[in-house]
Amino acid sequence: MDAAWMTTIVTWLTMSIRMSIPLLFPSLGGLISQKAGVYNFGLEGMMLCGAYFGYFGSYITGNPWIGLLLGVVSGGLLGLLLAFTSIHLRVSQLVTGLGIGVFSLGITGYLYRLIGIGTATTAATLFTSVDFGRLGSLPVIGEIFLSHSWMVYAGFVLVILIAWFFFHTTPGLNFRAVGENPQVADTAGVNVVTNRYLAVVVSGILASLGGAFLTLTQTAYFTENISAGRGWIAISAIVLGKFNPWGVLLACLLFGAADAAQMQIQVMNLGIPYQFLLMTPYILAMLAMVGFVGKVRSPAAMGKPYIKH
Amino acid sequence: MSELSTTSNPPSPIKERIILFARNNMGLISTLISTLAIGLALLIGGILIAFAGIDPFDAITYLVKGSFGNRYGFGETLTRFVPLLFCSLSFAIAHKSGFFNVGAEGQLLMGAVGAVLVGAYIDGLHPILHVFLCIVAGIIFGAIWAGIAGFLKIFLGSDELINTMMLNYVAILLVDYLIHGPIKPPESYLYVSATILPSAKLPIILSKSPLHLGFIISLLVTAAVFYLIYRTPIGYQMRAVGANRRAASYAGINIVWATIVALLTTGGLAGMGGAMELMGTQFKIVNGFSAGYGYDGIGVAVMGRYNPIGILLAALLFAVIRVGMGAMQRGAGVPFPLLNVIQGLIIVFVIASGYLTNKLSETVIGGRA
Amino acid sequence: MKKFSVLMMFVLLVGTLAACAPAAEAPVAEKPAAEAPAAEVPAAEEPAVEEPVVEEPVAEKPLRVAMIFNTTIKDGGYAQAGYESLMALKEKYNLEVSIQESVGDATVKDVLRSYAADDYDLVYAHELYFTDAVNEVAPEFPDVKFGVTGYMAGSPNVVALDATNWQGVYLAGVVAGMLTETNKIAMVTVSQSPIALKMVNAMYMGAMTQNPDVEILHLFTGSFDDVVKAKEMATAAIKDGADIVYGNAGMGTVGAIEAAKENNTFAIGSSVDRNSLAPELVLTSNILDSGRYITIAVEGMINGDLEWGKVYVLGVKEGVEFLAPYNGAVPQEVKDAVEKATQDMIDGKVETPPSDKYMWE
Repeated sequence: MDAAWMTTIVTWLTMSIRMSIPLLFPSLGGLISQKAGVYNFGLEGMMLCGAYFGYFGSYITGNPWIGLLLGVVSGGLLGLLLAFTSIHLRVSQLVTGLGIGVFSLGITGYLYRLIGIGTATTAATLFTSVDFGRLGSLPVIGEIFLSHSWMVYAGFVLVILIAWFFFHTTPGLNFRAVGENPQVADTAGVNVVTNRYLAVVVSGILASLGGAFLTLTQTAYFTENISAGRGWIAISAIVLGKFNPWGVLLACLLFGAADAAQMQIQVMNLGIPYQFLLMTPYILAMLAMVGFVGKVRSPAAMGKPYIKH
Repeated sequence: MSELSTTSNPPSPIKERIILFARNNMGLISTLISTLAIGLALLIGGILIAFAGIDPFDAITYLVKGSFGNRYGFGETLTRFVPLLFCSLSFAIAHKSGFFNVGAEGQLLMGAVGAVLVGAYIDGLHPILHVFLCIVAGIIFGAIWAGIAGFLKIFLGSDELINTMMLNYVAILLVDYLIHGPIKPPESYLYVSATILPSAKLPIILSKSPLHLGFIISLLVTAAVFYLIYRTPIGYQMRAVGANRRAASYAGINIVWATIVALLTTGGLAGMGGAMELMGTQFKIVNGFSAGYGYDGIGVAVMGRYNPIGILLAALLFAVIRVGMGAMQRGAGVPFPLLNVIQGLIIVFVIASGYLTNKLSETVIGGRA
Repeated sequence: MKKFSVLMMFVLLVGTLAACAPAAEAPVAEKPAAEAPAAEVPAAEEPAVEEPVVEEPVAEKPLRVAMIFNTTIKDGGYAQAGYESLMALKEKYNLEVSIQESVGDATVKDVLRSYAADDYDLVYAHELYFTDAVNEVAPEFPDVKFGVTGYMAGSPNVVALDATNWQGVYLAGVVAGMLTETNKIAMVTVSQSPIALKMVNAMYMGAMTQNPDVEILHLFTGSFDDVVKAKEMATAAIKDGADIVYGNAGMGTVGAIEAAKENNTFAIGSSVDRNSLAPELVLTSNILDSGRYITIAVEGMINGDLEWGKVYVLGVKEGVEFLAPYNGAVPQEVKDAVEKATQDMIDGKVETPPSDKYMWE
């Protein structure tokens, strides 16, 4: 294998990781919410708010951590709204989610305009890549795995934490019971409402982290609709990952890798119409559904409001 | 809801009469509640508009005037209503049959492709025949596009949420490819599809407005769809499968067949919506042909509670929002993002107000919502 | 249920038709439509509404100008420049202005008609893809003037204004051709539009005048909004050996330049001066002053020196396209070459690049 190919592959893998993280955060958020029995179709809107408020906080104060905090709060609040309408009011989670999406697109766009017109002075301060010292300059590994900002690693750690929580702790077991059979869980003394509220709020927070990842590590600028549909892809990644944190990670990596691959192929200039290249992540997702994933069993009480008898 | 109106009751004291009235008029009451919710959303929106330094009453006036207050705006509202209605019917019929179709956007686009192929490339037909064939092509293309997701679901057990969503993206890119070559007229400087021939265009039914025949067709189709669901054996089977797959199977219903019919109908409806939009309004396909009708259609179906009147009203609401918001921008200078905020508020408030309706019907009917 | 719904539909239908009758009295949309030799819309059938023809006093009535955009006006480029010019004109000439943004192809004709019916003096559509719609609607409103950023003016009340969309890129190509060391220039655009192809070919032509070994890498993001994707796209090209990145991908332009910044590679901006994004690395930007179209249209109306029914193609000669001030990395010989190329274009010595294929294919 010559050097050019090596470069291509290293670039591809590095990019794959960078491109899957903004999907991974909202996917994990959606997963938590769905495991507890509530659909979160507001991921896209929550991402947008996370992206805008993250950007805004960092731009105003020059400190990305404050941006992150603002972003997370905005996502949490939207999560609270979704929790209230779906758990207390028991109305359509799908449509509330769509409403949150439109609302967020508007509010972020409006607030962004209030900052003023012009591109020159509005850069936010970004999180820098983690410095791994001499390890970071290792030939291949260094670039692929050790060249990212802390949020990338946080994403991977989250997968481990969530998997451990779901499958190895009692609260996690109770949590899943709430999404599988709330009546039984309730009888066993698990507080369905509290668990669901927590789940949806956490899911909003995670989705906003995905948005903040875009404006605090990837680009120093906000643009209207910067999330560009990633929240919807994230919803697919949950199903593709069979409602399992590890599966969700794989699904996000698949989307990221497919997108990065089509970019590399564009660079190779093979003369394939670009529309077909841009299609690859979506078609791969469908093929993966058929080929490896097979039948998916979603949490039994997902989308169903719980009425205490 | 309206089935209950036929129950006869003996004379009763006032309280019971009120309950009786509420029971017989749940449709009216739920409309009233939704209207109040819209009012509340507009109130909050109005405060935001005032903060932006614009007279909120002026803005609301333009919202109403732009979508109803003049002939052109009125026709425009009913024109936007058409694709919204088709997409919501598509979602509703899939929902009734236990299929989660979020792919109306892509199916609508493919329907338009089918209609453009027939409408632009087949010449010398009588207008009525030409229009008919275009609609059929739209239905077939939409049904095929939904059929891909359906095939994967029925025979391979693959989840339809992912597949219909992915097919939306694929359809957008596929159409982009088609208008870059295969269906682009060679003399065109821009990337657009060929324009359909005059004989394939739908006639205008309200002069001095863009309102075309598709509006009447859409109402007839709505009636047909609900007739299909509630008054035919296959409709019963579809609903049975949607309600409980296993029970339907025990009852001897051919699940595969019912699902196939449901799928072809859901895709066909969205495709027909695309054909109508093409033949009545746009006449050619460009990037961004659909303008999100497929996604709004989901909101329409859910807000309309999957019943015909509800869907008609909800589709009208979304159409009014679309048209009225343009007028608010033009007339009152309301910034575009604020209009999205207001639209989001209306959606959330109306859907949340469903809680009251549910609660009320629980009380007066004593049963479930 | 069924009977009820059919009944309701009937009611709705009747209501619809009934509602039309009083609606006809509405003041808007009447006057121009009645006089129009309407092309598509069968509007002319209706008898003209009797309106006393009063000679309007030619008083200090402010000029009413409407402008239509198909994206948000905060795109940091094309639409924003048009919007800002409109606001400047509003100040200068005391105009009464109105805008509608994010207008899709599905609704553009309705928006045009609404503005025209509302007695705006000039309705300007700032989007190439609106050209057909403007030319279709304009004959219905002969008293209203229409402008479009486009390529056709098929009615005596329409003016079409557009940049060459390639002359500035040609100059950028001269710069890139001289300064590339790997002979590989990356261009990131949204799609393979005719304008994008023209730009790519112009870049190629400009670069070829200085460097016959140059190669262009044309990449697509498929999205006007997705800054991050544009950035990754440009990164991929840089890793592949491109040492000059040119971005013209809506808001993605910013992303392309950020990729250059991260990888310490030269970049060339587009639309507006992008130097502040990375002062050391942004060599220059090919500025396309898209605000000039609306200025020309409005001032032409005020001064009466604009020829209607005509297409104006504006470029380097008219000062609509030019290069932004260079940064320190651009040597004098490059500046001289650009100056010479500019003169060549003004003298008409440079051929228009094709917009339907890559020149090197």
